[in-house]
Amino acid sequence: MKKLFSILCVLAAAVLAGCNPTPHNEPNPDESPLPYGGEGGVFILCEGAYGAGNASLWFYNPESGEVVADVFGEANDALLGDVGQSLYMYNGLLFVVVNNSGVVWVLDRLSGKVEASFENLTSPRFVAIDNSGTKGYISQLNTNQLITFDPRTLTQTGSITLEGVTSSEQMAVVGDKLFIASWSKDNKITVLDTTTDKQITTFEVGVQPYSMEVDKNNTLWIVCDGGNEFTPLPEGMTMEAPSLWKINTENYEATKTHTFNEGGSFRSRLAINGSGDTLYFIYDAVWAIDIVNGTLPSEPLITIEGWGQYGLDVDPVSGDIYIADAKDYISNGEVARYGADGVLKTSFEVGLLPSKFAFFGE
Amino acid sequence: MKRLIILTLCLCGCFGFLRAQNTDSLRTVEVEEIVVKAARSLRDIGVQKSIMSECVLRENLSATMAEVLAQNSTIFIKSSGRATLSTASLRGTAPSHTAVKWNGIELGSPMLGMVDFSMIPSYFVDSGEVYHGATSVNVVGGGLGGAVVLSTDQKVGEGFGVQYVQNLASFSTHDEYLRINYGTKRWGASTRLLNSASENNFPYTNYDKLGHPVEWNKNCGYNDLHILQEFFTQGSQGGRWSFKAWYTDSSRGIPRLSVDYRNDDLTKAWQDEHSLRTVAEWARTFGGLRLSATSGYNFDAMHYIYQFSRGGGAVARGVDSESATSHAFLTTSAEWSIGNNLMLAANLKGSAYAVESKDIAPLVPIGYEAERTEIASFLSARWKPTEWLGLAASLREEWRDGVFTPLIPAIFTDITLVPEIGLIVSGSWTRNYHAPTLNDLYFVPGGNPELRAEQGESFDLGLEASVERKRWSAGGKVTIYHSNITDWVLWTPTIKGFWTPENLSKVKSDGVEARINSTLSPTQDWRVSLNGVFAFTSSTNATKGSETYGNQLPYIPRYSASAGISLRWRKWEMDYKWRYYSKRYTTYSNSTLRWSVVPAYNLSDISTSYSWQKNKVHFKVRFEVCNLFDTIYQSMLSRPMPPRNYGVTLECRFGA
Repeated sequence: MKKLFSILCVLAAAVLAGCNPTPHNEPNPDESPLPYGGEGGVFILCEGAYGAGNASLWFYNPESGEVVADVFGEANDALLGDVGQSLYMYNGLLFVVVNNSGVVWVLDRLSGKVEASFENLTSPRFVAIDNSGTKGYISQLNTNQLITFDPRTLTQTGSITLEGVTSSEQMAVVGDKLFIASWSKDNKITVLDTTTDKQITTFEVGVQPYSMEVDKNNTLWIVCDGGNEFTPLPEGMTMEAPSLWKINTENYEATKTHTFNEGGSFRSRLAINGSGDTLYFIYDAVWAIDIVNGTLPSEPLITIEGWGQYGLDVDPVSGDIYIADAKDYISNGEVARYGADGVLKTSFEVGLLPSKFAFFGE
Repeated sequence: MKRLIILTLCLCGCFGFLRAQNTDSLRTVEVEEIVVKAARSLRDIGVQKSIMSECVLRENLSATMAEVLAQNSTIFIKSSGRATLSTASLRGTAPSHTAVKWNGIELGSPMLGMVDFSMIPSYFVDSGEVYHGATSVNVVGGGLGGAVVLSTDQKVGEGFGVQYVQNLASFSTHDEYLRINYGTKRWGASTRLLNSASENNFPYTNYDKLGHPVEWNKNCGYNDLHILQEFFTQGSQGGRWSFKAWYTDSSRGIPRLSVDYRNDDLTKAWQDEHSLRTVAEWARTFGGLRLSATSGYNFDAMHYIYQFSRGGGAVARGVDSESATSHAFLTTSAEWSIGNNLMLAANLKGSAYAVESKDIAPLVPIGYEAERTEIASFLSARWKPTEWLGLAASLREEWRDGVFTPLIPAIFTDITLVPEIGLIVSGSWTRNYHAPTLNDLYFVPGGNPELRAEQGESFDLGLEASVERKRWSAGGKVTIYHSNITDWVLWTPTIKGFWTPENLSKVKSDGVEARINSTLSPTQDWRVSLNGVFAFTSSTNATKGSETYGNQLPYIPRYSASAGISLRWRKWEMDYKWRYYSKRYTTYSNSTLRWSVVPAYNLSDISTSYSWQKNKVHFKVRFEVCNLFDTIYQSMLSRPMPPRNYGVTLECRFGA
């Protein structure tokens, strides 16, 4: 009987040994997924859902119309991370900030492969590089520590503690100055001297400065979202209507040029065209603002349906306007490409929650 | 080769024990692990259910109901790791669509609707039943996918009994279980204690990260304490009383995502939970009439904290959420058997819920308080006009905060085609409703008080057969089903920056469920048992106009299967368990990109045990290898699961 039991056990072992463990998705690292062919194009960052680890990077070639999915995954055999936050194109490199993974990827924009990375970051949000090309900055949401790095070596050089604010958000470089918005539950703009990394000044704008752009006259434009009823503000600060501000970057004079109707919502950040004379954003519709007066025209440039339009940017070379539509937020989104005149040219599917763009022409 | 070596080692251990054993026979009589009912009682006319016996529930001390259901039913358990939130999907529905009862208490959170099965130790359940589809209407309302009914014994044996089980396992895991019973003819008492703790810090190859480093699963330790006290008494007039109280004190880390590149130990999340579930029951039989009353109180307090680094060693809390839910209920039931072929039943249940939820991390705390009152009534009639035909119908009505839910009707039938082999065809239909949860209605921000109840209509048709002979038995069942759920509640973002639920979707679910079981006992010394479960689940978005129309819902595997073989020889037993899940999409888009699909996987576990008796004390030692082939897999995207791991269990049992 023991023999019979032994035989059965051995047979069982043979059967089990024949079972294969589930193979992991095998990579194909030798094939570059990016058919640029020197034609340039636009990268699209899809945030993915918070906590799901499904952010993704896409590429679109406007000349051929080709769309390349999951650039990062195909080129690097890895997931991009959790909550794709922002893109920054610089000197042939694409910086991809992935907020809830605490990482900033630096990709070769032609191959999509990782050249370097900044890891172990608390809550990275945006990247900026000074005009000398020797200093880079990474803003963070959960701390007043601004990370610094050397764009030439792509190595972290240290951090700067921003006084008087608790976080940093979008940044803009004007000359030797770095303007840093403190968005979360704050209303301040910090100015940093990029030659010394010393804080020059801090001044107030509207509640929650959300986004900023610099025009051809080196005027800084800032959108403040005004806060919302479910994000309690500190004592002394109250919710207000969203507003557009114009900042003189020499004397820091801040002028509110437009107050938006309450009840609407900023869905995109500010964008500016290649010539630096027209600002674009989505406030229930797509608006184009001439930098001369800084007020809304009577009619929007593009009317939109639904409420999933989540990102907007302008190709600095062609002037085409790209609008990212997150649709229902639980399935893949869509990017619509419009001409500068607001006429739809094409649209294509991308990943979950598309929101940011980066252009070869930047 | 590696796998073969591992198997050989396992089997060598087994043979080593074999040589050492003596020939005294200690045959533990255990029921089959999966029982498919062929000959039905009146109560089971048309019912599609799976039964989990005590034998299945006692296989592994460190197993929770999440693992038991995953192995032994067609339920898909979505889990982000060991001892983390594990929710059930039955017939392709949402976690909140599977109703769960333990000794008559509905365990579904009134806030979230779903149940975390990783919080229910299998040793605190003596029998489990999964009611599929329409069948769930017979036990509870709102189970659009079905219901899981768990219970403990209604009595203990006479005399004194002690059982102690010690489990030691990989990743610094240890479980201790103690049960003490005392019973007389008239009354009994039982106390169970279970402590489960683990650092749970297993290594894994992280294929989600650049360069595929070997990393450790961080911040996922747990320490759970469960205490269950039960009293039973038999009144002089024939009435039976019981009282049960289950207390849980749990502290668990929330594992990090596999794509988290932060190395600091300051950014982390954890959850503490305390719950007390008490229930008292009275039941008495007057001839063919059985009356019962059950009353209970359920309290659950949960504290979830997400802490992040502010740099320089400073930390802040992004989420500091506390919630407390209370639930009291009273149920009265009557069952009247008129002869052998007619049974009438009715019950009436009143429930009151209270919820307090707040997040104190923001500068100004946000949260909500809400209450809900429910009255539910249920009527049913079951009739067997002939030996080969069974008919049943039921009607459920629910009143919730002043609003009546539409009537919930259900009909069932059985037709016995070939009595000799228990060949029965059965069918059922229902139109069911699932009320929005209190979070759906009142959560701040985003709660939507205008939500309607989700409506589900389902049909199923089953064919089963069973044969029992002196030395072998075999049975099987195949069920096909179809269901439509309308007004499916989905949380989606708003332009104000927060999420809100709406009655957005329609979902169509079609599928096949199959199960087989067989037992062969060629001699008194030998017994071989086989069982298998298979499910095909097509659960798709049926919302017309949606761009994802026809796509499979996220995290619903189209195919799943499990199988087990148990080989017993005298005091030795060897078990092999296998389960398979096909790929799961992570979004409604069903794209095949790597972040949009969680790959299919196979898992195998193997165990061997030896039982003996000395001086009236029964002993059993068991060695188990889980994830035998070291499969790298994920149940959810970016959530690593344990590699091959080992466990040793020693059990001592004395008396009743």
